[in-house]
Amino acid sequence: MNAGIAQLQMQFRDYTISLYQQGFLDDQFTELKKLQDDGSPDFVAEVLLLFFEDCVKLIGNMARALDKSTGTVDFSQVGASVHQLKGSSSSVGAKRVKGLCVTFKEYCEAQNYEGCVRCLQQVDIEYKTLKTKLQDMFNLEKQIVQAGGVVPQVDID
Amino acid sequence: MVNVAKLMTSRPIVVFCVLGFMVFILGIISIMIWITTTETVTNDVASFTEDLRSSLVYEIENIGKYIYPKTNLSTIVLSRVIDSHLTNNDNGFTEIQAQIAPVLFQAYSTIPHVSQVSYIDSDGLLFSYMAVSNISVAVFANSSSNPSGGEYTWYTQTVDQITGHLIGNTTKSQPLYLTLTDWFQAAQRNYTSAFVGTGLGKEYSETLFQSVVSLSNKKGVVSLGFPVKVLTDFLNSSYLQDGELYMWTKDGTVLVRQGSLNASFFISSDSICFGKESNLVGSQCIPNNCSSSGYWVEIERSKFQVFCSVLEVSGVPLIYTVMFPNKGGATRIEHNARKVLYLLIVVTILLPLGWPLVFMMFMGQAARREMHMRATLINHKEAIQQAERKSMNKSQAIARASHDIRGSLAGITGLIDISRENEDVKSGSELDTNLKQVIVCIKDLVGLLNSVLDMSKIESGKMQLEEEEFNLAKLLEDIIDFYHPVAMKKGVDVVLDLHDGSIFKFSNVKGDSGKLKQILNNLVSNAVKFTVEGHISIRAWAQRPGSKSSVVLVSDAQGGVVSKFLKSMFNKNGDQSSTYEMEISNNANTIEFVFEVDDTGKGIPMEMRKSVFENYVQVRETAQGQQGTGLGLGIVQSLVRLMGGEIRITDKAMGEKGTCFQFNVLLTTLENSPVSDMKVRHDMEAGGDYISTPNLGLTINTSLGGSMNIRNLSPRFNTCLSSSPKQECSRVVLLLKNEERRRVTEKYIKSQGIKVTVVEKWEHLSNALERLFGFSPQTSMGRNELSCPSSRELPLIGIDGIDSRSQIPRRRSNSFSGVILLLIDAKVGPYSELYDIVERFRRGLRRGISCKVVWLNESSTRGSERGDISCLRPLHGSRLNQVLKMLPEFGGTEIKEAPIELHRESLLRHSIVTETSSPKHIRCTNTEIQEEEPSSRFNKKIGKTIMAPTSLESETWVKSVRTGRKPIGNREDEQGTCKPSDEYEFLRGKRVMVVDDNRTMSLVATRKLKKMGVSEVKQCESGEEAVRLVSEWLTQREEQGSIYTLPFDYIFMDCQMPGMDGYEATREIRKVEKHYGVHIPIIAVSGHDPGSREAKETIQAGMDAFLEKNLNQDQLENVIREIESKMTL
Repeated sequence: MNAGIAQLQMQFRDYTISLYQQGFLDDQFTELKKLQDDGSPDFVAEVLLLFFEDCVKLIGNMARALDKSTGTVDFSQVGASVHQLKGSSSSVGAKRVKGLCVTFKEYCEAQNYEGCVRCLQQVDIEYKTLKTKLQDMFNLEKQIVQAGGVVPQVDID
Repeated sequence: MVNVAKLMTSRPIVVFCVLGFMVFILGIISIMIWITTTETVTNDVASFTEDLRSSLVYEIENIGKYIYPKTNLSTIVLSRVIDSHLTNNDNGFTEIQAQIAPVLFQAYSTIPHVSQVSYIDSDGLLFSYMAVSNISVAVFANSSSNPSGGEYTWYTQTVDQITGHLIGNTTKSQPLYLTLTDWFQAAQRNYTSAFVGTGLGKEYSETLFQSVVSLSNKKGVVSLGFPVKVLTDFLNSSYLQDGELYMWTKDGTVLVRQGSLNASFFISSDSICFGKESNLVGSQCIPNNCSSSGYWVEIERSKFQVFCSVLEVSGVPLIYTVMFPNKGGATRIEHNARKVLYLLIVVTILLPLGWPLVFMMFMGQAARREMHMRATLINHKEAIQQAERKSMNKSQAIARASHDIRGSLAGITGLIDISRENEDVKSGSELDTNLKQVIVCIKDLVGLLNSVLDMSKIESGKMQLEEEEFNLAKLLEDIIDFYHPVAMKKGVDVVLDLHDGSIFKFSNVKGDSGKLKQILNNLVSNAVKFTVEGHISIRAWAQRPGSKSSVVLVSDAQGGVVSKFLKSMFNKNGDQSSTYEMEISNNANTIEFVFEVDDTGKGIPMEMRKSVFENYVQVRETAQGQQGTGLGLGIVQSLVRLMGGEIRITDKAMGEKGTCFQFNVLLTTLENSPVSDMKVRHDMEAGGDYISTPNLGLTINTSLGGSMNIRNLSPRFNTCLSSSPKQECSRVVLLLKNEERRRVTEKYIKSQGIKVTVVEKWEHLSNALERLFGFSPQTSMGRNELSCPSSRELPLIGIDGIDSRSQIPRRRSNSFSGVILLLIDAKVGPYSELYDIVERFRRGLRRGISCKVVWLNESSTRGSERGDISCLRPLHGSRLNQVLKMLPEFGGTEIKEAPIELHRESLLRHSIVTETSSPKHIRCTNTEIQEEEPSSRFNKKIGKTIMAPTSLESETWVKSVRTGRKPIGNREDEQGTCKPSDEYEFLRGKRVMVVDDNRTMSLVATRKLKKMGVSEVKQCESGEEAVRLVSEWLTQREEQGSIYTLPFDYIFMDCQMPGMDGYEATREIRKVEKHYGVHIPIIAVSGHDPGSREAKETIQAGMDAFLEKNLNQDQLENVIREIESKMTL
């Protein structure tokens, strides 16, 4: 039993570290985790939920704004959405999404339609990837908790 | 000179012409003068020579005239005499010899100059005496030899000089046929004739002027001969001044020729000619009829002036010519003058050409030299500018580098913090201590960098003053409180000496508190660093800019307002210092504050004093073992100058150790008017009271300031001052370890009008106390009662609103007289013994006399049970005032109740000073205090805290007051404020609003803030909502009548939001809250970098601070602290 927990914990740690190392997450996520305590055990999950909801909504907005069939492309609308997405991603520590948003914003300011569309696709892919990864992580966490272990603190150097 | 040079370089030809013309004109003028003068001189000389020549001619004529005068007459007389002797017609030789010869001899010997006397018979007979080479001889023709008339033989025979008889031998000679000669016949015809001819003496004879007279019977002639040689000799010997003299007879016999033209001279038909005799055409002849007045003739190309005339000598007409060459005299002068004139003309022509050339050459040289110098100067200037630019660039580079380094250091600190938070690092472990050490090092490094950064900021002129209002007295106290423990560790006391307390009077000032603090910190820390023993005293006083004195002595005994008025009237033009007090309170808003930091350290050598203010300079001898860049004093000086002052090292008296830095700064005071009666009565705020003690004529500024205000002196206090020394009022006994502190404290208390007894050693305490108070305290008390009848009028303590409380002390003060206040430094001796002494003394006191003890540097609570006060922090400034306030003179109460009363009062004061007076608040405070009051715990707490009511405490109390009125029931928070607050929950109990359209972020922010202890977070999704919420709250509050509470302690505002963005919302909120006179701190939260354009916009929009989106706790703390400090001021 203990060995199982230890293994799970090890797995969790490695997985988390890999997420950091691959650049999915950054310090802000660590901060976020620190804010979670006994008073609000699901804080991180709540925040992430909100974040992903935002992502869906904002990406939808942008896709509509970038849709050429409706006529003119509203870059300012796209820009505002990107800014919001950037803010959200930086506050949860979604590093890759944030990075993409920065590029996206630049394209948007330059009114580069092609670049914008490409970025939008990438962002879409990226946040979905992140979502699955994080879900994996939470699953691991859950498993540990269910097994009666403690979710370990992961140090990121 | 320069102008000429300039002109030269620009128009050389013009200059040349002008100069040449000038010189030419000068030359012409001199030539003219020369010509005229030489002309006159020549004329003069010509006339002189003319005169001279005519006089010469005249002279010659005279000679001719007078050399043989009347020869003719002599001959005639002689002929008569002979006539008379010749009676016979026919005379033979014998007869002649007998009759005529003696007469002839007589004539020969008597007539002067005569050299030949002869008688010639017409027959040819002859008898003659003549002088032949100084021998008189006779020449005769004897008829005997030739009787038939024909040929006679001539004989020559010497004659006796005296008698005239013939002696000696006769010599024969060839006869001359005299009767046939022209002259003989002419004499026969004309009776007389004269001629020049040789004598009868044949070869011996010379040329003679011969005058011939015939006898009346025509039988013969008598002739006298005079030598021509006499005349020629005479003429030859006379000086003719280069002239030439020619004399000849009519028949062409030249008598005199004297001159250079000998060769070509000949006589032709009575005129003189020069040239070849054969060629008359080529020769020049002078007509013989030329007058005696000059005649010009040119002979052989040289001109001569010729004078000619006829001169008759003994009847013979002689023609003579005098010639003067034209060389001498005026002609020569004329010649020379002409030569000089030519020279002059040549010079006049050459000079205008030559001189300007030389002049221009010199000027050109000068101009070249000047150009060269200018070029050098320009080069130098450029070099200087370049150097300055380089230095500027260097400063900027340093600033940039320091900035970057600081950033990296901040990163390191953060990383270390993270590491330390990590659970692997156990607190107390070696790693932890090492990390702590690292942090300390980094802090040092940051400090260092900051000073370098400051330096470069100052150098590049970017340093600017940030004007804000602050309390100067408090600032000073804070600084000293900060350094006091450090210094005390080394055994050095830090003393605040406020002199006359003028700082209190103007303590509320406007200026750059941060920089002033930096200056003082630097100086004080230096002083602490370099002082090993003794004390550091910080003196401060205010003065009118330019004024020197702050205490005014009024010599007039009348006193009061009238006297002051009169003074100001009389001294309007005269003594400035007398009217100083009036002026300073009336018109001066700018006050000069002078600070002195005086230590007893090693001191700075005289020669280093100037250079210590230069950057990077440290006094080597003293800086050994001390760290530092040597930038400190340089920065300090720059800062002081920035604030309009000057820093210097003042000279200490001989033998005194250490250094004394003195600097002054100009700050704007907010005390705009002298304390009015109203103010005195209400005793509301910090500020000076103007007390005049008329009898002494001494004006004392008892300005007691800070938030701890001592009351206006009561009338009783005045009485005490003016009454006889016997009368006892309160007395303070000082037992302090440090001499300087003792002196300063004594002086200050005395200046407040309280009697002070200083005890130097703790062993003397007991004795001193006995001596002072041991004798019948009862008596003194009674006297006191009598002498201070006005004590009844002791004004209220505190605020009018709290009647019930202030009544008590007032009533009690009636029966109260003396108060003894012991200020004892516990370090002066063993505490327990001191305590015993005090206890004994206290027991020995009669009832009615209260004794109050203030223990310094003693943390034990032993004394506090008896109401004693213990103070760990230095006793000065506001704390000293607080202690003194316990004395009845300042409205203090009986000692036993003092702690509580004092505390309550101070609390009230805090709340009133920090927030503007509002009845409701006070009520709130009161209730709260009453809740807490009944407890011994309270007493204990006071023992520690009351004596150090620093800004921190007062803030805490204000906070507790605030939290107290909150409707939410978080009493724990309130309690928490009494504890040392948790540094991670520094936002405890705050209410904040987070405005962000991004729910994720708003959620995170809320969480973070809650972690920091925020009690309530209101989330807002848009700017509009935020504005609505705020205005709603404010209107609601107004209805309730308490607009002074803020709806939120802080608002965190996102900048970019759809609809109304953060800037707009902030502006709206500012507009709204303006109506209510409140200010809600709004902190911008944005994804932009701090320092970017957007960040600046937030401040422009009216936000108070700027934060990055991830809400870093340290940053947040800093920001909040900044806002807090702004709010509390």
